[in-house]
Amino acid sequence: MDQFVLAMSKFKRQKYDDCIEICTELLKKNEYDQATWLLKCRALTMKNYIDDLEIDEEGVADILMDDNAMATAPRPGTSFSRPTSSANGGISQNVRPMSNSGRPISGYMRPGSSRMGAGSSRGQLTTAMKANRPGTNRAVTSGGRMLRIGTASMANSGGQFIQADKINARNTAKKKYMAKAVVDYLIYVEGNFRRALDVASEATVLSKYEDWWWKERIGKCYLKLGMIKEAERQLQSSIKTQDMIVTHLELAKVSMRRDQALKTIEVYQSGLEAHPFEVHLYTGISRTYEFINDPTNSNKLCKVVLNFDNTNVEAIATLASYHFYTNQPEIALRFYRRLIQCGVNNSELWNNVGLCCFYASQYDIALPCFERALSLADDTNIADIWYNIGHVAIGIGDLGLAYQAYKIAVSSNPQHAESFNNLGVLELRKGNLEQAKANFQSSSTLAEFFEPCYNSALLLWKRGDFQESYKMIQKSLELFPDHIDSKELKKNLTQHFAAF
Amino acid sequence: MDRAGKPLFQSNYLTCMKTMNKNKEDVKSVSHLIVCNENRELIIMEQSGIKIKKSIKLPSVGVFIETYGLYDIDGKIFIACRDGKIYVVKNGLLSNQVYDIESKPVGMVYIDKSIVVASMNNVVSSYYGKGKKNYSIYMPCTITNIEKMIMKRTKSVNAALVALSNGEIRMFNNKFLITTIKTDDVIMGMRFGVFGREEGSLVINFKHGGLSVKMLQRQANLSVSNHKPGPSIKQDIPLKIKLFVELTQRERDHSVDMHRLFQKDLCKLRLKTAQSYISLLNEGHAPMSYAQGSKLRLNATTEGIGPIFKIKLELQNLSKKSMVGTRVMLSYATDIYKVISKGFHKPMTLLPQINYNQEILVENIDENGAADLIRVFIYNHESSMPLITANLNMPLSEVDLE
Repeated sequence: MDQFVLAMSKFKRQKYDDCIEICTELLKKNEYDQATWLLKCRALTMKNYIDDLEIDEEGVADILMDDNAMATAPRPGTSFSRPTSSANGGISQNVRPMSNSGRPISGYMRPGSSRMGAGSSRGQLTTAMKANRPGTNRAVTSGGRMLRIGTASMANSGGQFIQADKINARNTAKKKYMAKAVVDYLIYVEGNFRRALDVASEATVLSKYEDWWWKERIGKCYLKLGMIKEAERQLQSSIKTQDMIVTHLELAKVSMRRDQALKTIEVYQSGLEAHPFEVHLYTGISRTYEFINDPTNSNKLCKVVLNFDNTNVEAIATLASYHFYTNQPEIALRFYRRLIQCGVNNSELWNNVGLCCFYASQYDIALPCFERALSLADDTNIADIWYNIGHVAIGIGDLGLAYQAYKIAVSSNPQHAESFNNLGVLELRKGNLEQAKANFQSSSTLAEFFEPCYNSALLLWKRGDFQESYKMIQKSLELFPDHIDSKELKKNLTQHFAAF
Repeated sequence: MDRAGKPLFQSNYLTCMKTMNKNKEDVKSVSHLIVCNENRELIIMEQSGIKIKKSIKLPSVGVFIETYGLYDIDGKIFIACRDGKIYVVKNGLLSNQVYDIESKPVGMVYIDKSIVVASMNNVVSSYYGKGKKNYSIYMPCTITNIEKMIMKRTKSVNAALVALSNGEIRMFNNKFLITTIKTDDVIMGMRFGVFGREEGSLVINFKHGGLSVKMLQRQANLSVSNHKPGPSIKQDIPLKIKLFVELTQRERDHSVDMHRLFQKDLCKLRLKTAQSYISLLNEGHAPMSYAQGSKLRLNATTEGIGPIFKIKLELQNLSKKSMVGTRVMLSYATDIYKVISKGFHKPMTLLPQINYNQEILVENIDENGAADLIRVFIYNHESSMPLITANLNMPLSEVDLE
C-alpha cells in the first residue's frame, strides 16, 4: 500500500502518532513533498487540538496586566467576578460549597472557568507561585491548556517541526492551504499567537478579505493576545462574510473576557437567530447563567439542550448537581444514572452516585459506589472521595470511621481545606481543643470559605478569647454575609464589648 | 433683683397637647385644649383657651395624649407617661385603669377602640379599652413614628402606620401587615390626612431635611389577606414526587436485604479505611503527627523556580508543655539535590502555641532539572519514629544556563 495513502488512513482513524511517524519517514526520502508535509502538520495539530470554543483560560500574567476597563461596581447579577450578588437568588452558601473564586462549585468541571474574582486567593501572586500544579513551580502565565509545552515534550515530536521564528509571513500566506495548516499548528501546538497572527493577517489581505476563516482565526489570536476590541471587530466582520457557529462562540468569549454577562447572553441569542436549535449556543447561555449564579434560567436552558441532545454531559451534570443541592437526591440520582448509561465512567461520577444514593436512603447501593470510585481514583481526587466517605460516616454516626476517613483525605492532599475543617469539628467533640484550633487555622488559611472561620470564632468565643473571635467572625461574614449564626455571634460579641 | 419679694415661681414646660371636642363631633365645633406639663399635671383648658378648667395630677409626666369621645359625654383621655404606663382620665377623674407597656413609649394612637403604642423595645402593642392586651408586633429595628390612617369618605380604612429607623413604613390593619413602603432615609415625622383634594395622603419628613408626599391610590387594596401570619413566601419544599414514592416503596419491599447489604458493605468500608489509615501511619505520609502524646503541626511549602529552592517550614507546638530537643531532618536523593543552608540541624525548643518558621535552601544539581520527593522529618530523642513528616513534591527546576 502506498505509504502516503496509509498515512492518510491513519489520520482519518485518529491514529496520529503512527501517521506522524510515516510522514516523517516519507519526508526523509523527499523533503519537498508538500502533500506529506501538509499531512504531518495536520496530524501534529490534531494531536494537540483542544476544543477551546467553550473554555477561556487566563494565566496570572494575563490578569495582572489586563488593561481592559471593567465595571468596578457591577450591578448584581451581571458580573462574572462577583457571583455572590445575584439578582435571581442562587442557592445559599450554607447549602452549596463555594469554590475559591466565590462561585458555587458547579456540576461540571470546566478548565479555568473564566475570570477569577478580584481579591480571591487564586489571583494573588503568592498562590500562583506555590506549587499547585504538579511538576512545576512556575506560575501559569499563559492560559492553562494553551501552554507552550516547549521544554518538556520537545523530544516527542523529533525536534521542532516548524521553526516559528524563521517563518516568512508573506511567503507562507501565499501558499493558501499550507498557510491554514501552518496557522493552526502555530496556535494549537506551539501556542505562538504572534506568528500565527502575522501569517493570518497577510493571508487575509491576499484573500481580499473575503475568507471568513482567516478573519475568525485572526479574531482568535487577538483575543489570546488580549486585544479585545480588535478581536471583536474581526469576528463580527467574519460573521458578516459567512455566518458560522464557531464565530459566534468566539464572539461570546470576547464578551466573557470583558466580564459582561448579559452581553454574552445576547451574543449567544443572536447566534441562535441565525442557527436555531444549535446545542452549543444553548449550552453557552446555560453556562453563562450558571456563572452569574442564576440557576433557574440555567436549568431551563439545560433542559432545552437535553431536548436536542440527550447525551450532553454538561447539561446532565449541571442539572444533577442542582437537584442534589436543592434536596432532591432522587432526581439527581436519575441524572447520574443517565450519565452512566452514556458511558461516562470516572471516579467523580461514582462518587456522586454514591452520595445521591446515600441521601436518597438507598443505602445498599451507596457504599459499593464509593468503593468503585476509590478504585478509579487517582492522586488528584482521592482526597475528595475520602472526604465524602467521611461525610457518609458522620451521617451514619460512626465518628471513628469519619475521623479515619478525614485523616486519609488530609494525608492524600495536604491542601484539602474542607477535610481540615471537619477534622477540627471531630477533634472538638473528642475534647482536643488545641488540635481543633490548629485544624481550623490550617483550614482557613488554605481556602476561602466561611465554615472554618465561623468554627474558630465560635471556639475562641467559648474559651473567652473575644478579640480573636471577633477577627474570625469578621472574616466569616466577609465571605458569607448572610450567615445567620455568624451574625448572631457577632451581635453577642458586640454586646460583650459594649458592656465594657 | 426684681424678683425679690415675689413668691417663688416654677416655670412649667409643656410636653404634649391635644384637643377634645366639647359636645359635638363636628370638626369646627367647640373643643378643649388638653396639655401635659413636666410637673406631672394634666391640664384641661376652657374653651376660650385662657383659663384652666381642670388640672389633674398624674403619677408621672405624660408624653403622649390621645382622646376619644366628647368631653361632656364620657370622653376618655389616654396619657402615655414616662414611666411606661398609660393612664386613663374619664370624666375629669383619673381612673383606675392603667396599661403597662413593658418599655418606654415612643408613640401612641387610638384606633378602632384600642390603644396602639409603639415602645422602645421595638414592639408595637395594642390594648383594649378594658385594660387587656390585644396583640404585640415585633419590629426588626427601632420605631421612629406611629401614625393613624383613618379614611372615611372614599374608603373605610382603620390602619396604623409605623415608621422604622431603616426607612420602612409598615401599614398594619389590626395585627396584620398590609404593606411596607420603603424610603431611603430615617423618618423623623409623618402625618396622614387630607391634602388638598386627596383624602389619603401621607406627608413624610426625613432626617436629612427632605419632605415627601405620598398619595394613596384609589384602587389600593387594603384588605387583610386570608392567609395566616408567618412566612408568606411560597415555601420551596420539593413535592413528593413519584420517583421518591417509588424509592420508598423499594425500601419497604427489600428492607431486610438492603439492610443486610448495607451492613456488610459498611464493615468492608470500615476495614478498608482502617487498613489505609494504618498503612499511612506506618509509612509516615500523614501531615499530622501520631507519635504518642505529642502534638505538632507542620506546614511545609516550596518556593522558587530553581535551581535553588527555598523550603519553608512552619512548626507549631500544640501541646501545653514545651518540646525540647526537636530537630529537623531532610531525606532526599543526593544526586538530584544538595542542601545549601547550614545550621538547621541544631536542636530547637518549641514553646507551646508559637509559630516557628524555618527556611532551608536546597539546590537542584541535576543537569536536566528533574524533580523528586523531599521528605522533612521532625524528631526528637524520645523515639526513633519521627514526630511528624512532610512530603514535598519538588517542582521541575530551571536549568542553570552557565
